[in-house]
Amino acid sequence: MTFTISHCCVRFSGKRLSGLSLIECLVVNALALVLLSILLATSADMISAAQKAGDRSEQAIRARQVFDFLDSLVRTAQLPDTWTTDDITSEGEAVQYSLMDPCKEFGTVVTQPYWGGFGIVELANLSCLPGTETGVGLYVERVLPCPEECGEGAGYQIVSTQCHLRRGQTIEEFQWQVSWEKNMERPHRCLEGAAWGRVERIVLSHRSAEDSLEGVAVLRLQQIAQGLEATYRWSQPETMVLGVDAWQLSDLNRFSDLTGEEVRLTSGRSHAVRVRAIIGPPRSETALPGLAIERLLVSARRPTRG
Amino acid sequence: MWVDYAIASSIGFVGLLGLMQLTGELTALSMSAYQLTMAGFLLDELAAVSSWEGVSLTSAAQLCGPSEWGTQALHCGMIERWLRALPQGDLSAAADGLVSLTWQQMDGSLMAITRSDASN
Repeated sequence: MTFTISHCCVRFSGKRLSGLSLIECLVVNALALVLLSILLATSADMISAAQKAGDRSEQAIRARQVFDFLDSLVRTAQLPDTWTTDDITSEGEAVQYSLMDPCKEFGTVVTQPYWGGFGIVELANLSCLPGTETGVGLYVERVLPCPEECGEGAGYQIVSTQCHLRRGQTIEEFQWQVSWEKNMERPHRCLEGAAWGRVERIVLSHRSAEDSLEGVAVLRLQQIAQGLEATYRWSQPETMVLGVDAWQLSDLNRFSDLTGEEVRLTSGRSHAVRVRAIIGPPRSETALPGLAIERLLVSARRPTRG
Repeated sequence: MWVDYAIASSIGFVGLLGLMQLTGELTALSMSAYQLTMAGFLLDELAAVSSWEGVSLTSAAQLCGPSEWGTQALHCGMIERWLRALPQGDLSAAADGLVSLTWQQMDGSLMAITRSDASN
C-alpha cells in the first residue's frame, strides 16, 4: 500500500522520504523572506529617490517655464530692433525707455520716440487694477511687430508718424503713436515698408497660499483688456503658475546712497530687475524644500567692452 | 523541488533587479533634466550679467567662473551657486568667443553645453 501526505513542501511516501524536510523548508522560506524584504526595502528607497529626483526636476522645469516667459516679455519690452537700428545711434538713446503709468490711457495725439519697457510697480498705488492687493508687481509694456507676431484681434496699435507721410516726404524725428484699432491690419494710407505693431501692457503679481482661492501660492497675470470696445481697462487677474511660494523683485537701477535716500541710476545703462522666486514642490507628500531661483532681467543690450 | 525554488526565486530576483534598474534609470534621467535646466539657467544668467555689465560673454565667464578672480564687480552670486550645484561644474571661455559649461553626469560621463555672444 502506498499513501502520500502533502504538507508544505514535504512529501511522505510509504516507500521513501522525498523532497525537503519541514525544517529545510522553513529555513528556505525564511531565507527567501529575508532576501525579499531586503530587496523590497531597497527598491522602496530607490522608488522614493526616483520620485524625489522627478519632483526636483519638475520644480526646475516649472521655474524654467516661468523665467522663459519673463525673458520673452522683457525681450519684447522695447521697440523691435528692426524698427530702431537705422535711426538710433547713441547708446544713451537706445536704452531710454518711456514706461508709462499703467493706469494712464494711451493718448491718441501723444507721439513718443520710444515705447515699451518694464519696471516694478507698487500694486497698492494702482487703483485701476482690479483684484490686486499689496506688494509689488512686474509691469511690462511690450511692442509686438505686425504682421508676424501681433495676431489679428482688436487692440492698441502702434504706428510710426512716418506712416502717414506722402511719398518723398521725410521728417527728422522718428516718432510713434498708439491708438485703439478693431484689428491689426496694415493702417490705411500707410506707406509700404512702414512698420506697425501691437502694444500690450501686462502686470505680474504674486498671491500667497493664504489669500489665493486655490489654496496654493500663485503667480498671476493681468493685461489691458483686448475687447472690441476701446475702453481702457485692465482684466481680472488670471492664474499663470501654481506653486510659486515666494516672489521678490528688486530694481538694480535704484540704490540707497549713504544717507539712506533712494537714488535712481540713469547713466545710459540698461534697465535691470532681479527676480527671486521660490518654486514649491509639486506634491506636498514629498518632503522637498522650495527651489529658489534668482535671475537678472535686463533690457536692451549695450555695446560690449572687452 | 530545489529546482522549483531556484526558478521561482530567480524570476523574483530578475523582476526586482529590473525594477531597481528602471528606477535607477528614471532617477538618472530626472537628475540629468534637473542639471540641464540648472545649466540653462546658469548660461542665461551669465548672458544677462554680460549684458548688464556691458562685457562680452567670455569676459563674464572668466570673471564668474574661477573664484580666485574675485567676483565683487559682477552679479555672479547665482552663477557661482549653480556652478557649485553641478558636479565637477566648470565654466570656461574659449578664444573663439564660445563659453563652455561642463559637468559630470550620474553615470560618470561629462556633459557640455556651449553658448556664444551671437546666440544671446
